[in-house]
This record gives sequence, C-alpha cells and structure tokens, in this order.
Amino acid sequence: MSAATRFVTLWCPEWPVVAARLAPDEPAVVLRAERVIARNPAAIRAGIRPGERRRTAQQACPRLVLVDHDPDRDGREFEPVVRAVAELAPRLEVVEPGLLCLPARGPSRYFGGEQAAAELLVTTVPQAAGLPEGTPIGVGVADGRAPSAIAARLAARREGNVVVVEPGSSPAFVGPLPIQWLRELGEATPDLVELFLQLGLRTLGTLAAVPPSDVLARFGVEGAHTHRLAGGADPRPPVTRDPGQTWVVDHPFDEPVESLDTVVFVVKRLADDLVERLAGEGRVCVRLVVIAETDHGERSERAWYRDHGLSATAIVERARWQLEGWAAQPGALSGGVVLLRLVADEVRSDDGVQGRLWGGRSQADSDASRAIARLTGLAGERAVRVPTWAGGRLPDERYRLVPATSVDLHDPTERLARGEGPWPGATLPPSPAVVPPDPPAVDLIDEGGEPVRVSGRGELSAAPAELVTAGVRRRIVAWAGPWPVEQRWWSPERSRRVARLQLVTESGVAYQVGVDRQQWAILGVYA
Amino acid sequence: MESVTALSSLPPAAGRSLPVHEPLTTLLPVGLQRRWIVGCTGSAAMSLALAVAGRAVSEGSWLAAVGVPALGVEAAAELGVPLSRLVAVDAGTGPTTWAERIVAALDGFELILTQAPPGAERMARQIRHRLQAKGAVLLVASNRAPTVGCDLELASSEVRWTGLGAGHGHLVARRVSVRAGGRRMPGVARCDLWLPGPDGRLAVAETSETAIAATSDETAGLRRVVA
Repeated sequence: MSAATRFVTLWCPEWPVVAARLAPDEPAVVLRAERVIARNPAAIRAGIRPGERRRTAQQACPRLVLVDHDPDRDGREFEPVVRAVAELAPRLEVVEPGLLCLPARGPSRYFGGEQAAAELLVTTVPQAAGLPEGTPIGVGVADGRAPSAIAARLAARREGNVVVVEPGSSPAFVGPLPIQWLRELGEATPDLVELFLQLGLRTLGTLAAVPPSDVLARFGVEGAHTHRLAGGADPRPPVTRDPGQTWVVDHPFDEPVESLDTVVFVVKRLADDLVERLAGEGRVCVRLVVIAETDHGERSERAWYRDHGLSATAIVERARWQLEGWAAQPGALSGGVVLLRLVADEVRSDDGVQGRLWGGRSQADSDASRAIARLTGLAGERAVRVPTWAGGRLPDERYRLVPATSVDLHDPTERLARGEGPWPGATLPPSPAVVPPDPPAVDLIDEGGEPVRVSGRGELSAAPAELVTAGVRRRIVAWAGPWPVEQRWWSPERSRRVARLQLVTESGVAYQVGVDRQQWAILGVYA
Repeated sequence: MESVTALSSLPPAAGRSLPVHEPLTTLLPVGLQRRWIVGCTGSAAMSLALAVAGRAVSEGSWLAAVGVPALGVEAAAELGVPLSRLVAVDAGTGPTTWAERIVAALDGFELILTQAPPGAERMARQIRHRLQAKGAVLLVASNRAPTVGCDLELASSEVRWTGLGAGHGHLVARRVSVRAGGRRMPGVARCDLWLPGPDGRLAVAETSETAIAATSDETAGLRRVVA
C-alpha cells in the first residue's frame, strides 16, 4: 500500500444532464434505453431515481423534461472542463465525460498540499469551464485511481466538495460504504451486487474481509476486481502493467487536412492497427495519449484512461471528442492537421474481463444479444433464428435458419462459410428476395390454355404463356428452362426429380417456379 | 490525403440517421432517419428494403426481420446485408403478437424489417411510441400501399428484367424506378436503380430518365448536396 500513487479525481455528477444544458428549475432527466441515467437537481428533488423507467418517472413527475442520451454531446461539452483543469494540472487523463483524474504529486507541490490543490479545482474549474451556476462537482484525493474516484463521488455530496483520504487509510475509508457502490462505479454487474447482498455482504468492508482466494474461486476475475476495490486498492494491481513500455502509431499527412471526418478516419485506422498489435501479444491499452498537430504548430494532446482497456471503437470515440472540442475552441485551430499520433503508455495483459470488447464487439452487438435473449424468452427458441449456410440448389435450401441460441452470435465465420462449391443446378445470382417456406401451388398454361407439362426427358410440352395463381392470370413475357434438379423437393421426405423455370410476367415481376409430378409451385419471387 | 469514400468504413456514429449505400442517396439524401417508419412498396419491395438496410448493417447495425417468413436470405446477402447481423424472428399469429415482438426487437436492433399483418394499423401507435424512444428504423415491405403510417415511402415501379428471353437466357439484372415521398419529405425524389445491375451491384441507372422532381426549395437544396 505504501507504494500506491496518489491520485486526484474530479467528478461532475449527472454529467449527461449538465451536458444537455437544460433549464435548471424544470425537472429534467436524460434517458438511455428507456431508463433514467442522469437527473438535474429539480428532478432529484422531485424524487426521480437513477435507473427508473421512463413511464414511472413520468408518473412521478408529469412535467418532467426527457432528453435522449448522446455520448458525443457528453464528450464535447466536457472539453472546456478538461481544458480548465489542464490549465492548472496538465498531466490529467480523461476517464469518461464527467470524470477525469491526475497524479496528485505535481499539483499538490505546486499549490501547497493536496487539500489546497483540490479546493483550487473546485473553486476555479466550474467558472473557467463556463458551467452553469450550481453545477455539482466533487474532487477526491486518495491512494490509486479507484479510491480517489470513490472519494470524488462522496465529495460531490458533501459541503466543500473536497474529500482527501490520507495515505494508507483507503481501506478504512471505503470499508463502511454499502456494497451498491460497486454498481455505481461500474465495476460490478447488478447481478453480482445482488448476489453479494444475498450472501450478507452489505458493505465493501465485509467483502474485503473474505479471503481473496475464496472470492476468486467463487466469483472469478470480476469478483477478484471488486474484492481489490473493496479493500481500498485499484481493481487491478499495478504490477500487472508493463513497466516503461510504450506503443506508438502515427500518421504524418502529406498535406494539411482540415476535414474533421478525414482526421477521424485516420484515427480509426491507427486505432485498429494499435489494437491489433496489442491484441496479438495478449495486451490491452488502459491509458492512451492522442496527439494532433497542425501546420501552424498548434497542438492538441489528451490522455484517456479506461480500466477495462480501450477498444478501437472507444479510441475513435474519444479522439472525436477531443478533436471536436479543439475545433470548437475559439482561435485554437487555424491550420490543417499534419500529424496524428496515438501513444499507448499504459498497457497490461488482457485478463479476460471485458476481453470480448477488445475484439471489436460493439454496443450494437451487446444490445442485439440482449434483445435476442428477450425475444427468445418471449417467443421461444424456434422463433428467433439466424442463417447458416446449407448449400443446395433450390432457393429455400441455400441457407437454413437455426435458433440464435444455438450458435455463437459473435463468431459467425463457421456458420456462414460457404464451403466447397460449385452446386451444379443452382441458379446464378440474383437470388429471389422472397422464398416462400411452403411453395404455393400454381398453374402454368400454354397459348392454347393447356397445362404446361415436363416430359421424362426434361422437355416442356409447350412454351408457357400464363401463370395462374389463385385465379389470377398473369401473362408471361419471358422465360427460360427447364433446369432439372434431382433431389428432395419441398416435402422433405420425398426425393425426386424437379425441373425449374425462370419467368417474367408482364408487370415485370420475375418468378422461379418448379414442377414436381406435373404440379407447379412458386419457389421464389424476385420481388 | 484520405478520400471521402474511405469514410464509409467508419463505425456507425450515434447520429440522427443510419447510412445507406451511395446509389440510394438521391432517394435518401441524409440516410435512414432514426425514428422513422420507411415503407418499401411495389413489385421490388423486398429487394429495395434489403438494399436500403445493407450499408447500415455492414457498418455494425443489427437487422431483425420480424414476421418475414419468406425472406430470401441469399438475396439479402447479395444486396449487401451481412448475414452475421441478420436475425429472423417469427411474428406468431395476429397483430398483437406481431407488435409485441417488434417492440421487443426495438430494444436492441437498430433496423427492423417487417411485413405488416392484417390489423397492424391498430398496433401502429404502440410501435411508433417505442420506435421514437429507441431511435431505430422500421422498414415495412409490402406489395401494396402500407397499412402502417409511414414517414417515408419508397415505391418501386416499372420493373424491367434483362437476361431472360423467350425460352433462353437467365435473369441477370433488374432496372427499377423508385419514387421517394411522404409526409416527412418536403418533395418527391425519383431515381432509376439497377437492383442489381449486370455486375451484381446496386447502382444508379444512368439515363436521361433519372430526374429529381423538386417541389420545394429544401428538396432543391438536397439535390445540390447529392449532385
């Protein structure tokens, strides 16, 4: 514990609602996925709770103003705060919009102690950043990032808005806090917190008192993190980080670039490159510096920290916030960007927690997984399906739908690999966009009104002139075939010869029809 | 210098709209507006709906086909929808079950493709309410006029196939005339599309027939943007 680095954390609670710049006297909340994630003071006074559903919140407070969450807005609006802090202490790192931390040593020396430095931040930053009067803020100082983040959250609720935890006393500080803090800090899932509560672990101190090996055995790596946190330490020990090793990727532009989108696109490429190189060695980047320089010598440098590791998507998102904030700052940017550099200066081995995020699994992917689980619960396994490649020649045989729960949704390579072809007798693309699961029977008649038949040698009795479906006659203007296919037909237990035609009716709609035992049916509609 | 087209590989931003393939920008100048119900109608309705969804799905969005039992999966892939993010959901029987499953799908999918069952109009409000909250896009494919109120309708007509003759050849390419209009559009946009063209790709059919009928200044502005 003696070697722990002292950290200062600045926390702006309910940041999404501050960033939305809503009138302070009207109760207002920001919603994500139909649930309240941030409330303004008036909404807090009205009794709205975080995590509450839209409808219940509206029932509790009918004139509640609702705003949808916009992470880009949060990031953009936080930039002035970051700049204001950087004026006083340049070595800061942004954890997320509303939360930043910095090593305490420099500012503490410069401003005459940790308490003084923290008070200075509280008094000067909101004004310098142009935050509305009364915007809540908290500054905490403690051993390590996580304890200082807890201190900052408590500070935001206390008089003076500053909490300094003396060196070595982090365990005593966090011990009495309720276990629900793990959820608030985003370090444990609600399920895990619920489980801890059921086991009678009501405070962080009681969790810390459980032997670490038991926690690891029972709750895995995620449990071990929460255990370290509950003991007043950072969730991952510093020794797991690679000392002194930095990874750099950069991109010098041939000529100055003034389009933000272009710069962000290059960030995306660099981020992919960096993430891939690190992942190749089983590593994740937890602290990243994004640097951009213009041909006029202007420079933007910002450090970003994420304990779970920064995915390529997360890097692009943060770089965008940084660059947009830079561009929005009056007079900061007069030239075009000539250099872009990403420096991963804190890298550690990937311990598997959130590891799948690393492979580029996005928010959209996890949202979809959740919805798939819900739909499966609602409609049954057989009602929620994903395609797998089956091969075959008839339109309804090319792909088979299998229950989504039976496959790894995030590794579709195997189920969609088209394997060895070719499939003689399969029609060439384009394929019909409508493939009826039970091919409806139709009649095909020739110019004389006689049914079109296929002989044993696969020849048509006459050219088809009309397609008759449910009494409606459609004139055929073009056709080709028959192409024979010898395999099972639409009734799976039967195996026989099938012949198919493609045809276009006068309305322009194309069909693929098949014949079996002289009965025609629609196999596909090119609709 | 990076080219602008290379931006297409950016991850989808949580912006106001989902991206569409370049040939569709005459019809959808700003992409697919979140919270909208987009009807795809006419004799190429399903292909059009899949083509419209393609770009967003290839950039990370997930597509749920709810109540589309006859979905041509291979056609979806050919029209640019990566099958890795396509999920088919059985809509059960009746409009209530259909709506219930659409609403559940809206919780996690940014794109939903459906065919409205009889009686769907009664459930439209419930669906629209959730659609507004989630910021997804609902694509309704239908041969006839859509039964749920659409913000935008993409109507396909004048379908012409090439490659198939009187007893010879095979289907190769399709030309479709598409008209975009609706209560949320200031004017009407028209575009002839290859769906797909002889090379298998979605493309604008370049002829003198390709024209945009502008009925207001806004549309004229949009035309300048896409020109």
